[in-house]
Amino acid sequence: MPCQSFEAPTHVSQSSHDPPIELKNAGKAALLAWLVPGLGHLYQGRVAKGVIFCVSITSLFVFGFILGSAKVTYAATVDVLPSPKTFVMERWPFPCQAGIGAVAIPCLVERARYRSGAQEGLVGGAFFPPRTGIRATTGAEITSVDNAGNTVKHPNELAKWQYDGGYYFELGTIYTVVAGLLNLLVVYDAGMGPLVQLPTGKPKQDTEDSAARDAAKNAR
Amino acid sequence: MPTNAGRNAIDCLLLLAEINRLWFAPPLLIATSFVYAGTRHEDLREILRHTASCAVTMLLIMLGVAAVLEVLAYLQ
Repeated sequence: MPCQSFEAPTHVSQSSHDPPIELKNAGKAALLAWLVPGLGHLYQGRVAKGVIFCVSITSLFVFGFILGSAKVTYAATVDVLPSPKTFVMERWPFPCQAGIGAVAIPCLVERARYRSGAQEGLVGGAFFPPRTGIRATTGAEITSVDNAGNTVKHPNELAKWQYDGGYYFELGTIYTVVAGLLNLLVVYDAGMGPLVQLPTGKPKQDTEDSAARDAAKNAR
Repeated sequence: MPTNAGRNAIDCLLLLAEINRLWFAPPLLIATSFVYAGTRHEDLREILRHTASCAVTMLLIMLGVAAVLEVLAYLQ
């Protein structure tokens, strides 16, 4: 019986100017790219791009995460069905942040724990949704202390986070949202190749070739 | 009641506070440029060249928008 080789399937991406790029196991690479920015490219051996994506997106996300005091990434706690619109509108940054799998998965795990009655998050409150609705009224009073030393009461935990974080809460949210959205481009690149592969100087040569062809034609 | 000099100093401090906020833009701009350029080329040199041009373009657009806003604020 002949020996069969089980090589990873490849997807070839080609543009009009550049040589085709062999994308090793596109589906798996896309999944890896979603899980950790740049990992799909590293798996495919596109090391330079993998490192660029990993450093750019991860640092952007971590910076935003720290700015937002690790409270800016969480999923909405309402039911997804029958109206996914409510789920999206309650916490619109989450679907954008979910462009990074390493963020989406813990957020969904913490959401499930919150819905099952858990009071605290697994990782120091990160990714755990804020106490809102009935939970905000039944649990311990939600307060913070202002600069003058006065106690400020909040209607729910999200209000407290926004009050305490102020401008940085919004900024952290924006950073993490942008990181998630950028990773969608990276996932596409890992799975399908460059979105629009721009010419890399070869068109000039094409122009020269066509000019030479025209000159030869005229000489005839 | 603050004097004119005091008021100017306060204005300067407020302006500095606003400038500090602008320091949050470069990381966003650089990361976005890198990813944008990275998804359009395979060659590292081309990626870096496109990143630089993309960052400059975005910076100019942002400065243009800021200038328009400043003019509108002045006219208000």
